Order: sequence, then C-alpha cells, then structure tokens
Amino acid sequence: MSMWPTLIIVLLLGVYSFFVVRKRVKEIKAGKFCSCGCSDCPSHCNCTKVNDTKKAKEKVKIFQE
Amino acid sequence: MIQEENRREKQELKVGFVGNPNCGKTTLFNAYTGSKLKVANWPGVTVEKKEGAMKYHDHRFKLVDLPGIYSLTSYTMEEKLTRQFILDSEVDVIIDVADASALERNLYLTLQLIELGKPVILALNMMDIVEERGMEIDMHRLPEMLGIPCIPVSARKRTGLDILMHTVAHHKEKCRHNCIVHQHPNIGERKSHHAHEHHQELTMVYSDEIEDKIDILIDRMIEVGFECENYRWYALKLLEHDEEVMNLVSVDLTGIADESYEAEIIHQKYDFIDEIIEECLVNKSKKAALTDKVDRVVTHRIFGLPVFLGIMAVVFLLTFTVGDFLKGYFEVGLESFSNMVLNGLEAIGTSEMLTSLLVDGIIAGVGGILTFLPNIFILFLALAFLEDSGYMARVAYVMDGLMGKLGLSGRAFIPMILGFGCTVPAVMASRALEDMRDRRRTVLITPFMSCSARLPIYVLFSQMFFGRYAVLAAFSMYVIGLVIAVISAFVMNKFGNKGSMSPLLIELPEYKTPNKRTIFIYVWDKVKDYLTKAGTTIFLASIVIWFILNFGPQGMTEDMSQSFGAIFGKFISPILIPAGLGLWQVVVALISGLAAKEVVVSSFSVLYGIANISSRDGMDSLISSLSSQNFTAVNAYSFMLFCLLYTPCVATIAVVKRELKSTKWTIFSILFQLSVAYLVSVLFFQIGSFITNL
Repeated sequence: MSMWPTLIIVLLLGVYSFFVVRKRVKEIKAGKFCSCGCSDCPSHCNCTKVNDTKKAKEKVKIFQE
Repeated sequence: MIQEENRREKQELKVGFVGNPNCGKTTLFNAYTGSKLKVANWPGVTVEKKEGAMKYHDHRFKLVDLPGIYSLTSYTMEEKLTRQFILDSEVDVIIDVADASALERNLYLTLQLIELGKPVILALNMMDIVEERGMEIDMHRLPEMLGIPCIPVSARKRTGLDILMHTVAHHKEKCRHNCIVHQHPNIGERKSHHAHEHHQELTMVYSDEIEDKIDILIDRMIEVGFECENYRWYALKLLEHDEEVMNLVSVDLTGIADESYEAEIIHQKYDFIDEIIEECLVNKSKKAALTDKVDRVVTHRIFGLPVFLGIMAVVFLLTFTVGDFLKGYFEVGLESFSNMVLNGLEAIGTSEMLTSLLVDGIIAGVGGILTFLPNIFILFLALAFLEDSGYMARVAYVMDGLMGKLGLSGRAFIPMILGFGCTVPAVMASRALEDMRDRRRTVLITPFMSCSARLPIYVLFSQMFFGRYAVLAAFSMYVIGLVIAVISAFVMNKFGNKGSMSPLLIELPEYKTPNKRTIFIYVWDKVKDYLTKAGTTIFLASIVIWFILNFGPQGMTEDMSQSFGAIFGKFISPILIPAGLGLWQVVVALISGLAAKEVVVSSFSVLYGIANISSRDGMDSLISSLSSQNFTAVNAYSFMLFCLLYTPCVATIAVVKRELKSTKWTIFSILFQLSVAYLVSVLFFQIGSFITNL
C-alpha cells in the first residue's frame, strides 16, 4: 500500500494546524484572547492594538495633502 | 505673507472632540484620523484616550477624542477628565459633536462647553437622519442664538467634514461676535440694579439674581488673589457648589451661595434650550407615541422583568423550532460528506489511523459543531433584532433596580447582558465600573450568564433527554444562570465590602424598525466568527481529543477505556459521582470545554464515535450509550447545570486575570465558579434522584 496519500494528508493537516496555532499565538501576544470576532464587540477598543489597526485600516478617507 | 504662511503651517492646533455618548463622535473622529490613531488610557484611570493627527491644507491638527459625556459636572471620571483637559489648556478648539436628530438633549453640554470660554464649534452630526425624519434646522438662527459656528455633518456619509476642519482652522481665536443676548424675566418682584449690557458677548445669561451673584463672586475671587482665564465659569461652579472648584477656590460663600443653585442654573439652561428648539427646529419630530406606550409595559417596575423573560423564552423557542428545521439539512450534508471522505480515503489507501483521525476525530468534532450553526444563526438573528429595535437598552434599565438592591452599581448589568453573546467582551466591559469592588464582583458573576458557546450543549442534551420539554429545559439554563448571578451578588454584598452605588445613566433610544442591513452585517459577522472558531479552535481541540482518546501508555489503542483520556477521566470521575457525572467520558468532555464550550459536544462525538451527533440517529446512538451507563434525564440536567456554571473557557480566564490584575483573584474566580457548579449540580442531582425514585 502506498504511503504517499497518508503522508500528503498528514502534511496538509500539519501545515494547516501550524498556521492556526501561529495565528492564535499572534493574537494572544497582541492581547486578544478570545475566539470571538471583533467587528461589533463593544470592548474591541479595550482589547488590542491588532484590532485597532485593522479597524483603522477600514476607515475610508484620511484628510491629507 | 510667506512668513505668515510658514507660521500657520508650523502651529499645531489641538482639537478636542466632545459630545454625548452615541452621537457619532468617534465615527467622526475616525473619519479624520484613519490609520494615524493612537489608543491609550488616561493616566491613572481606565478611561480610554484616543489621539490622532491630520493635516488640512496648511494646518496641522492634533485630535483628541474625549470620553462621551452628558454634562460637565464632576460626578463621573469621564466628566472630570474632559473638564480638566479643557481647563488645562490642552485644547485650542473644541468640536462639540451633537446628534442633530436629538438636539434638545445635546444642547445642554453645548451650553456648558461655551461657558468654559474656549472656542467651540458645534458639529451637527447625523444630518442624514434629520433629513429622513423630515425635520429641518434653521442654520441661520441657530448660530445666532448660540454664538458659535454650527456645521452640519454626517460622519457616516462623510459629508461636511472638509468645511468643519476649515472652520476649526479659522476659529481658533476666541469668538467675539454679536450674540443675541438671552434675557430672562426677573423672578418674582425683585428687580436687580445690575446692568446686563456687558453680557452682550455671552450666549447664556441667567436671571438677575444669578448674574448678581456671579458678579459678586468674581469680585471676591479677584480679592483673594485667585487667578484664572474664566472667572465667570468658576463663579458658576461655586454657585453650583461644585466640590472640585470649592476645594480649589477659597472664597467665602456666606450670604451669596449658602445653598446650591445647581438646580436653578440647570432649569434656566433648559429654558433657553427650549427657546432654541422652538425657534430653530422646524417640523420637530415628536417622540413616538408608540415608544411611550411600549415603555410603560417593558420598563414597568413589576412587569418589566417578566416581560424580559417572556421575550427571551420566545427567542429560545424560535432558536429550537426554526433552528432545528434548518439543522436537518446540515445533518444530511454532514452525513454525505463524512461518507464521501471515508470512501475516498479507503479508495486511495490511507492508513486506518489517519482515516480514524479524519473521520472520527476532525469531521465528527468539527462537523458536529457546524450542524448547530442554524440554531446559532437564529439566536443571533433574534438578539440583533432586539438590539437594533432599541429593546436591549430597556433591559439594563429594568435590571437596574434589582442590581441596586444587591449592592451592585446599575451599570454592572450592562456587561452581564453582553455575556449572553460571549463572556470575554462582557468581562472587559466591566472596566466601565469605576469602583474596583464593583468591577471584581461583576467579573465574578458575569460568567454565569450563559454564553452562546454553551447553546450546542443545551440543544443536544435537552433534545435527547427532554423531548417536547426541550425548549423549556434549555431556557431554564439561562434563567438559572441569571438567578445564580443574582444570588452570588447578594451574598457578596452581604458578607463582603460594599461597593459604590454610582447611578446608571443610560439613553433609551426610540423604538425603530430594525435596519435590514445592520442585522445582516451583525448576523453575518457572528456566523463568520462561528465558522472561524470551528475551523481553528475546535479543529485543533478535536485533534487533541482524538489523540488522547486513541493513544494510551501502550501506544495506539482500540479500546478507548485504556487511553490517556480515560485514565485521567477515571482519576477525576469519583469526585463527580455525587453530581451524577461520575463517567470518565463526561470528565473528558468537561475538561475539553476549557478550550471552548462548543468542544464539549465535539468531545462526545469523538468519545462515542458518532459522526453526526445532532442527527436523530446520532442522538439515539448517544442516548443508548449513555443510558447503558445509567445516565438518565436527571444526570443530563445536572450535566447542563455544571456546564452552565463551571469555569469558563481559557480565553475568559486570561481576560479575567488581565482585568483584575491579580493571580489571587483569578484563582479565586476559577475555584468560585467550580464550587458553585459542583454545589448546584450535587444539590439538583441528589434531590432529583430522590424524587424520581419515590
């Protein structure tokens, strides 16, 4: 029986798991501990720089020269 | 000319954004600052401070978003901060952001800001709503009466923003234009000999009696050598017996202000506001008669709480009935997908271990949670509807009375309401409570408000064990959570240090038809969050659970009862026997719930090898397995109670630690919640078993 399908699937699972863990660690370091979204969270301003930057980037116009 | 231009460019103007809460101040602020935004806390307090910078033509601005306040008294931290910030000359120009559709309410702060003596510009925000309601504001008369520029803007539609900044750039000098002097009729027969002609520059002129006292107090302040830029403001504050000013200015008030004139000053301000509204607001929208009628019932002293419970019962009925109808399609989809993956993996010859991981672990775990998406969808749809209609603000108002009797600040219930969605932002929202004891108590009891992550647990177990009473069983969890929170607060108040009783000041918006777009965005965000959580936290948790249940000291094991999970579960389970939860599988599920409460359901899928746990077959299979271990309806209800009350997820624990800034209190909160859960489950199980065995 070929081991290739198993290895490929395990590799894919491993890569995906790695990215999920990395994303969570980054969020935790930035101060966001929950898995909830931030878009309408009333406490998002109290939460993290990550979210403020994200929200700020969603703003439309900056009045600059 | 060139020098003048260079000078203008170099000078940075400090602009403060002030306004009532919910007037769109922060939206307006953000429209200007974009990504150039710095967020911090005001020194020494937990009130947030936002600063930004921008350039407009040759002008540089430093923008500060001050906290939302209703007035400039010194009752709350936000008011004190804003007032001090302005008085300390930290700001050159004030933009008073007002909700133009509720001008009457916003003008009180405007008048107070004008009295501070700094240049003020009134930004009439939400003009699009004014137009929608068919109202009109006389933009010639309003600046005449207030004596300040009034600029119509819409932060949401980004209109008027340029002209507002243009006005700021050219209004930095204290205004000296002709105002219409507002004359009060003399009160009573007393006529003053005081001439008011020199009040030509003042927007707000009080009655002769008050103006006489102001003049005397100004003279007295100068006599005692008190120096300031705005004697009139300090004189007014002395008449109002403002604590901070009275401590600062040592002037003898005997014979002038033996009692506080605060109420009188406020009345006269509102008289003026009435005049302004009368003259400047055309086609004034009358407060909906419907709002008044509905509020008579929903905010009733006695009926308010039952109405709230009734509405929540309807929400759960819809969650179960409509949600279950939609869930059927998800179950069919999951079944097909699971079979397809299984057949596919067998066809390509993957190892049995990997097949088990994928099908019995990941698909069962994640898929099991995804089938509850319709219930989650309906729950949040209903909550969005209630929020956008304006009802949820009434809930906080209704609970205020009860909270007060328990020694909790009325504001404490607002974080608790948030706990129905997610406990993490609910705990963070306790920051709004200034008193640390209040905050601590709120943080301790907020996790008892059942978050949406626990819904799959209630849906599954109540449907399995309670048949047509499933809705009642699930709904009772929310009621019990609220009751336990209330009792805990009562006990803490009785035996602990009493917190402060800062009053609840909340705006009750008019009822309105929920906006379709707002609801769609809200629900879509919640669905996205749920899917993201399923694909991340629950995905990882399912893999970990599969590993600990399929591997033991001897390596991979066919018999789950020899796995690491079983060994650990069997070690803990005797403790939970009195609560009817003495199965190692239950212990494993409860511990896995620390990652996220939804994982409890995923755990059961993996534990009992059921791919589609929420389907009829899946539930039958689970009931059969549990019943063979003497797990009955009483055990099931005890289990739901334990899930409701025990330690919340690790994310919540982390936020509790951050908010309380104390490891000791964090450990206390974990032990407190575990103890309450254990006590309640044991009590229920023992009494329930006794009754069923009769």
